Amino acid sequence: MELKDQVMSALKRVIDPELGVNVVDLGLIYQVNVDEDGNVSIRMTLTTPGCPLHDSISNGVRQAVMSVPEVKNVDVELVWEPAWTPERMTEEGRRRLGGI
Amino acid sequence: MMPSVTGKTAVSVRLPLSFIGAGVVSLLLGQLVLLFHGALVMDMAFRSPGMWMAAHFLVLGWGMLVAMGTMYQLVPVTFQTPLYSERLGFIQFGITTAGVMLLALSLGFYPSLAREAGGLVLAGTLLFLFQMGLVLWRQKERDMISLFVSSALISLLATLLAGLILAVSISGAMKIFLDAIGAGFLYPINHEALFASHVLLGLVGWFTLLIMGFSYKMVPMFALSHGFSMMPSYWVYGLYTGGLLTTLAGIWMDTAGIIRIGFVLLLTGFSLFAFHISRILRKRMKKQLDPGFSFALLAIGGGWLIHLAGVMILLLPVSWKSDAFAVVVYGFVMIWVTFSIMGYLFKIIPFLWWTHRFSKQVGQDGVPTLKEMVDERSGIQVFLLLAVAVIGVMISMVEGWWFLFMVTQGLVVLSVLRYSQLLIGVLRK
Repeated sequence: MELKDQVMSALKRVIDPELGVNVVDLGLIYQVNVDEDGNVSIRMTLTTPGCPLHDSISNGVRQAVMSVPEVKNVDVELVWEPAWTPERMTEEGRRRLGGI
Repeated sequence: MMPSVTGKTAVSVRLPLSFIGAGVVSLLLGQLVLLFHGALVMDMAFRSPGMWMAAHFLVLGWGMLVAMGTMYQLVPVTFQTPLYSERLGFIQFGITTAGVMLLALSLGFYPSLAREAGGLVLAGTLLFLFQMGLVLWRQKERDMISLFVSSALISLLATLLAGLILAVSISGAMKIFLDAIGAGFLYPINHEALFASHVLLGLVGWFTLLIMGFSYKMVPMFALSHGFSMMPSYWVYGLYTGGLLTTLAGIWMDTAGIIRIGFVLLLTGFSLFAFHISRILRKRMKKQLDPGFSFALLAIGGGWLIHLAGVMILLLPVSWKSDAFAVVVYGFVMIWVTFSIMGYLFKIIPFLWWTHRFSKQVGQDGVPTLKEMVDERSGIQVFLLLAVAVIGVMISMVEGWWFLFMVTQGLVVLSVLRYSQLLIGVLRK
């Protein structure tokens, strides 16, 4: 599996504790860049600006990605623009949220 | 351009939990005092030491301390601006809590100590206003929530000053003070108007504007609502604060017509707020809402009924207005303020504790969701029992049914005990 796929797989383990859906299926991950030295940069958002969980989730993302053996460094940038919208959710995310 | 998040805005869980713990103890004490002073409630003798004690436990101890604790948590993250000093927050907690407890007890047992205790409450509240004022001042992008919260804080200061002037004036010291500064012509101060302003500013200005402001943050967040307009919130703010100021003017001018206009404006503002929240909920992605959050939403419906009752009492030619207003104030404190706070706390406490216990384990197996942190089934039972019991207390007050009061007030105490137990259960996770 390529490193980027491993990173995405690790990100799917990060669950929003309020919604019970992982950050990838929620559409919170805007961009993932991986270089050949194992440096990963992630641009992500949250469902609402000023979400009280922003420290927990961004730290969770950092730790999950760092758990991938080939990753040497992770940079997480939390952004509010463009704002998150429900359209960014995957089909799986919608399905899980609809059941909540 | 992609604005990113910088700066530490999260506050240690100990600070909000300290306030909330003291608040829940005060709620229990206030309800117990009401139970043991049932005769005063039945006689509508609300200006008596026992009732003053209960009122200050409930309004200052429960309402204000919990509001302060949740604000220490919510204001920095909502406005993305760090606190000035967390250490000062703990000092403020010590001073305010000691002051509130001493004040409530002194009003019931040792009135001579009330002035010193009131001084502690004043000092603590000023420190709180300083902290919150700085956060709001430093906030980069202000919005409607900032406006609601700022106005609530100004109302808190005005409530406190009105209470302080009332206490000093009743003691006779105000005349000496006014004479000394050459403003003796202001004496005698209208104590009735001052008392009414104190109650109005506290309940309508401080608590309601604060709950409205944070509802605009928490309702979309907990329901995952998107794509709604915030335009009605400008009208809500204008109508409601307009109602508050008009009512205050009517009280000081002693003009019933102006007070009526003020009450109608308050009802209109609150009605629009309830309607706006319902529109926001229509845009939600999360279909099944949590019990605590649902109870806070139920409080909005209850709050609307209380506002309607206030207007009806003023418009109808009833001879028992004073007693009826006492029931409305009780309903305002319990159904609107207390149910809102209890409902939101049922969401906030699991969040706080989850952040403290599990935030470093995000992405690992076995990390619970927030729903798994709290016994929701028992929560629903407690909320239902409490709602029925409080309505029972209000009916017993109107009808003067002693037996019904003792039973339903007893159920209120039991509900609060069980509620506290459920919150403690969260802290054991």
